[in-house]
Amino acid sequence: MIIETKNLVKRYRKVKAAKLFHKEYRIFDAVKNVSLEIHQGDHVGLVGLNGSGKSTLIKMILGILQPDGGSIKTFGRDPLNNRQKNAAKIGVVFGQRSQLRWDLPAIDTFKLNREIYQVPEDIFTKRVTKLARMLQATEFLTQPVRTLSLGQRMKAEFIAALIHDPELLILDEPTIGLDVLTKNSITQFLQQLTDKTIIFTSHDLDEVAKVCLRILILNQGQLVLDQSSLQLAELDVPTTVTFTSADKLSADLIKQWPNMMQLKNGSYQIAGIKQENLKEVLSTITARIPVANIEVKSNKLAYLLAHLKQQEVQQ
Amino acid sequence: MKYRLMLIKIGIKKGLASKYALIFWLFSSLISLTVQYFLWQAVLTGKPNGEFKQTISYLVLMQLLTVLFPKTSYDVNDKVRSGDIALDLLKPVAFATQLLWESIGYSVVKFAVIGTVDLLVCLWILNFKIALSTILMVLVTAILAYLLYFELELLLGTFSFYTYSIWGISTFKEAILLVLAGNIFPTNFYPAVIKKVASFLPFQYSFGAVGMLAQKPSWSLFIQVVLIQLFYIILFNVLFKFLFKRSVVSTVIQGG
Repeated sequence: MIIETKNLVKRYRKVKAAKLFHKEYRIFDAVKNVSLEIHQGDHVGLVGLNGSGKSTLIKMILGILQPDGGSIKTFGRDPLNNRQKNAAKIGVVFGQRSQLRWDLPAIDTFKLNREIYQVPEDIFTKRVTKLARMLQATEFLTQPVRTLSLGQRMKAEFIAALIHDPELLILDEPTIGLDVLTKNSITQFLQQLTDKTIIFTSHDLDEVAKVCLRILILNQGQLVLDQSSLQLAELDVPTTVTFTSADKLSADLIKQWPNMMQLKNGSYQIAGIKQENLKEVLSTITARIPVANIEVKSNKLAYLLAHLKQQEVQQ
Repeated sequence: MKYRLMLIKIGIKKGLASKYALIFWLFSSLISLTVQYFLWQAVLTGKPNGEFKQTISYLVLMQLLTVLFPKTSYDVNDKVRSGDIALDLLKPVAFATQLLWESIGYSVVKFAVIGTVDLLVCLWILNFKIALSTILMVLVTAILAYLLYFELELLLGTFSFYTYSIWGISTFKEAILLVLAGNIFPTNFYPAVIKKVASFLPFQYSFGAVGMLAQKPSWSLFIQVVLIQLFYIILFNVLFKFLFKRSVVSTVIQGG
């Protein structure tokens, strides 16, 4: 087992009201009684809305934050007191932080990591070449980091995190702010890392499900769901279709979809479409309406959270 | 050992990336030296020429040390504010070690661009007459002064975990150094009380003590300075380790 937590708790003190000489605080539970086990080779998606406790949990796993209750073990030991020992086995990519030196080419950071993690020169060269090829990053590794786009920088961050071939790869919202093509390229890359244990946090459930076989959902600090991504894929989550057309819709179509509404920008939106009806709705739209733009969305995470809350209330 | 060399290389490359800033720094350093030259010439009117030469060479040496010494507290502060410190903490090498060797690399570039000019000016004032033993004493105490100043900066930087800005603390440090370190005024011009107080505190051993050895080198003073420097380096290191460990685990790395 690589990670084990039992009733893990983290509390923050947040300012409730600030006066000139006095502040009032309230205690806020960022992580509440989280118990989980992550085994070698698992690809685990840690999903939740902003502020759900994902990053706090990650920081405790990494040993850079002290829990207020419960226990945690990373590689069988207390991560807080063994942070540097564990570091040799862990690679980390934070979407909003960087280990690359701003003024220097990414390759310089890779070389520094080679020395820090004591990777032999020939293995280093082979590994960087392979990773750069997989991520299509060969061209820009010798450019100063400040001249790279966000997507290029994130690809370089992935290579930097994998220089020492870590057992555990922790990805904290690594695709935040990236365009669809770069996201897809990174997703495909991660799918190929079958020999690693991966923890991938995001608020985009669909994206995480492409990489991870197991999904954990955190909500307001609590672990509310621990399920395989296959089971989640089978969930019948209502879909919303939004489309734009220059032509007016015929009366029979409007009659066919009584829940269709026209948005302020002129687009039409049909919400709450069941999975079994989606194909038919899309076929009808494309066959009968000259569509300028169409978007299909299913916010599985929001649906799941609402569904779980409803279940909780009923119990 | 190799990763230390690589950190020095990274520091050098970072320094070279900001070479234009260093060239402007060199010019401002030369302007400051010129002002000090004429100021002390006026102050020491009527005194023997030897005293003027000693004072001005002392001040050039102090300026050299000020340029070379790292501003690590600002680096720590930037990392704490941005949250990037998380990534440094997750390396199998101590955070302070990473900062130290990278700072040394940056100081190498500062020495090459600014320091050599300061050093040449200093030697020129002394007519290039300086004993080998003096060079050795100054070199050893300057290296220890560098380490002592680095530890002091690390300690100050650690306050960032609580204050998220060390601008005020750093300004306070500058004021303390101004009074007690002897990097602006030679300590032998101080009143006896301040001189006595300064001799017990660590600040003088980052600057003034090195200058004193350059002015009046003696093995007894050298040993005394080295022992006090070592004492404070060890003390600050223990303090930093204690404070840093507490800070890292009990405060929050910024951002989600």
